[in-house]
Amino acid sequence: MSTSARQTFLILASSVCISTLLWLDSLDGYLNARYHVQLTDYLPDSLFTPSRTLASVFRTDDEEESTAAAEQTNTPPDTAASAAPGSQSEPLEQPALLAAQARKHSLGVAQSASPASGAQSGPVSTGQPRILFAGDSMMQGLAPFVIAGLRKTYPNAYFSDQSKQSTGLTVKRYFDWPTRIKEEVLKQKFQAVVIFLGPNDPWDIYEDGVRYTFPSEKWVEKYRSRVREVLAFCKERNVDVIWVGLPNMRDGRVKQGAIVENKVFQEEALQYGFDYFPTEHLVGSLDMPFQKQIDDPVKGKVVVRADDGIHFTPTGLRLISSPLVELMKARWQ
Amino acid sequence: MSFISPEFAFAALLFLPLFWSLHSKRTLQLWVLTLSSYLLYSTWSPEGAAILLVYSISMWGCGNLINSIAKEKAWRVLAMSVSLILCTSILLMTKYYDFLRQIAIDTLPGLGLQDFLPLTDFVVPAGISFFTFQAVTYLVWRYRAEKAPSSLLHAAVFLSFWPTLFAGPILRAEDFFKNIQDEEFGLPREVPRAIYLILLGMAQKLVFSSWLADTFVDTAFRYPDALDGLQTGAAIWAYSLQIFLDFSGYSLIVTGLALLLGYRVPANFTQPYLARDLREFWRRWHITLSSFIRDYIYIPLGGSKAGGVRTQINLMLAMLISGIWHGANTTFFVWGALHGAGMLVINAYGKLGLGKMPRVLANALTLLYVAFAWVFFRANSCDSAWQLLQQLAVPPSAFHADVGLLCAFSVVFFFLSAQAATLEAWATGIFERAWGWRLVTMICLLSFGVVQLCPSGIPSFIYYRF
Repeated sequence: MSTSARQTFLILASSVCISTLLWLDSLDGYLNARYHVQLTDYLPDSLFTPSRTLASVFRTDDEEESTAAAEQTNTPPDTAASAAPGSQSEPLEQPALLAAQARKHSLGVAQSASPASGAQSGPVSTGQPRILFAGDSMMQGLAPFVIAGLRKTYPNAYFSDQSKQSTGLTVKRYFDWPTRIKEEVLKQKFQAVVIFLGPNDPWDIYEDGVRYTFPSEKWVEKYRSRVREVLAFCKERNVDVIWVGLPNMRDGRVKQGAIVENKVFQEEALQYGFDYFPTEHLVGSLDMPFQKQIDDPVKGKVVVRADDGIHFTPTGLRLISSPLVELMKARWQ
Repeated sequence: MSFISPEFAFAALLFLPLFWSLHSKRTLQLWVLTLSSYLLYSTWSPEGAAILLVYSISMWGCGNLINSIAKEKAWRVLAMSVSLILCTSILLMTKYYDFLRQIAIDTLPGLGLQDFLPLTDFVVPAGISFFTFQAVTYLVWRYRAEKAPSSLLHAAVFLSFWPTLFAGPILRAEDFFKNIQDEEFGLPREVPRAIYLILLGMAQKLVFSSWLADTFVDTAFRYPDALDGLQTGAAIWAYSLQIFLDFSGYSLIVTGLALLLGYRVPANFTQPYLARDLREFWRRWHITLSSFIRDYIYIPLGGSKAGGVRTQINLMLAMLISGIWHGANTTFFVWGALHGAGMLVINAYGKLGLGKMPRVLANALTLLYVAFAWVFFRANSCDSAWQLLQQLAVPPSAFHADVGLLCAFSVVFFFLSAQAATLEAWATGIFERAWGWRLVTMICLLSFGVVQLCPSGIPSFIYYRF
């Protein structure tokens, strides 16, 4: 290698190594969310000190506020457990900085000018429901269709689409949906929450140094406890929940995850007296081979799923949103 | 694996010293470069990498066929035509078939006919629009050049060159092979400038483009009826800035990475929002695409030498192709048509001999028109675009502080755009003088600032879709 190449390499390598050290904690969160590996399992804790110190120094007011709010609104395990018969307690979750950071950048859509303050959470009123849409990229696709459908009946309603891609219930450190939903319900007095997520979840869960391997029974119980955390809180606050189930998926792991997760969503929603909205009969059943298209009586075969075998085409989203809107309208009549 | 991901940074640290150390063994170096391209592509899609390999072998075979028929011109033309059809058919089949089938489904029953196109399940390989156009330049070059490098390695390395594989800039075969024969290829070149371009591109994409998307654009386009006129106008303008910062940021990163390989990629942007008319805009925006369309579509159609009306038709066709190249959707067609129509108006204005407009006015009108056209580019459907444009008539419901911030950002943006070359020379000079540990400190501080200000996760580049 020439001298200039060697010098360039030294400069680039030093820069990458120092930057890695300065961001090691965030990098750990990123790798955990993306590849489901935990650097803390392999590296000494002292290596994380610079990044943690910097993170605390550069933490914004917004993030501090969010963390504080999350600490206040976290439903204690006993409370969550008491709301559901047969449920188990779990340790109190502490949201990580990344979750707070992700919150800062999420989308909020106020569909009406009605102020959030002063509104009371409680049973959905027919006049102007306040509805939170939570979930991953699937909800990012679905929410605009559902909101457009609902607005015809509820022109003065308040809808907030806070869906965020690549999120789920597995990696709380990256994005903590239970805490986020609690915060938003308390802050914006939502009367209903619609949840649609899951394809990012069929991976091992790391919590308090313990690894829950997907799809072991312990994993299912841990996952179930996170679903319960949301449902128990909403039950307590008299907030309605509609949990949208997953349809067929192409990839084996995601498909297996959808089967396991759907079972949890359905059982827990029914347990708490909420609606579970299945989508398998609309855009593909999980016990069938994956197909992008379905038979339409008028148009013949129509494509309802995207090339990735997870998301939907606009036609597919319309097929899901129409009955979902009808369900919501019927429930709140 | 995105160029702005931590994984890529670590992989580059392993790859670059190996690549540089093979500088004296050019053939081996090109093999390593090709292999690295396929490995990188496989992290996106192994199927896509397999398709690219088969495609590269096919194009190499076509090139050899064209070259082997040296004497009979008619046969050469036939071989060339068949090769071009083969070259573009994969793009047409994977990217446009479903769109055409959907049109058939929607229209044929109304005409009393039955839809006859079967449903297929094609995988669209990442970057296909880019490597298809590069393959066209490869075939044309093999047709024209008498002594073109004819090995499979040359075809493979050109079509898979990783810095430009996913979203351009679109390379031309003659430039590429001239560049890799250069003695400086294979060793880091203009390193301070490369570092500046990579850092600037990261800041453009990760900080500014993400901020514009989060604060103004995404909400407006997902909920086109939710905002008032002021917010909608801000969202449309913010998208104009976002797509520039995103795509030019990507091109800067690619240029910097290519320089680290010792390769100079052609410029893709030269401050397009400072253009005084649409013609100038297209000489500054996505230059490698517009020059490709000019040289491989517009001129072969007859260009401006085909007579008045024919020239305008050629121009409109070129702009429509430019639009539909971005994707199989009527919105891209409308976007191309709007730019085509704008060009025709400019030509008519020139013919009328009305004289030049004041620069500021011409620049403002161009910007407004370009921003208006971007609405169709970004929207999911023409209905949605129209709905958004209608919102412009809704009176503002309140004062929006964000809009003020966008105005301030725009002022700074135009100031820096006008000074871009000076700024680059100045920053490169500083990096050059700081060579060593001071440069490392600067890189760490600047990248720390970028990461600190960017949202969580790794955002995708807009042009990865095309």
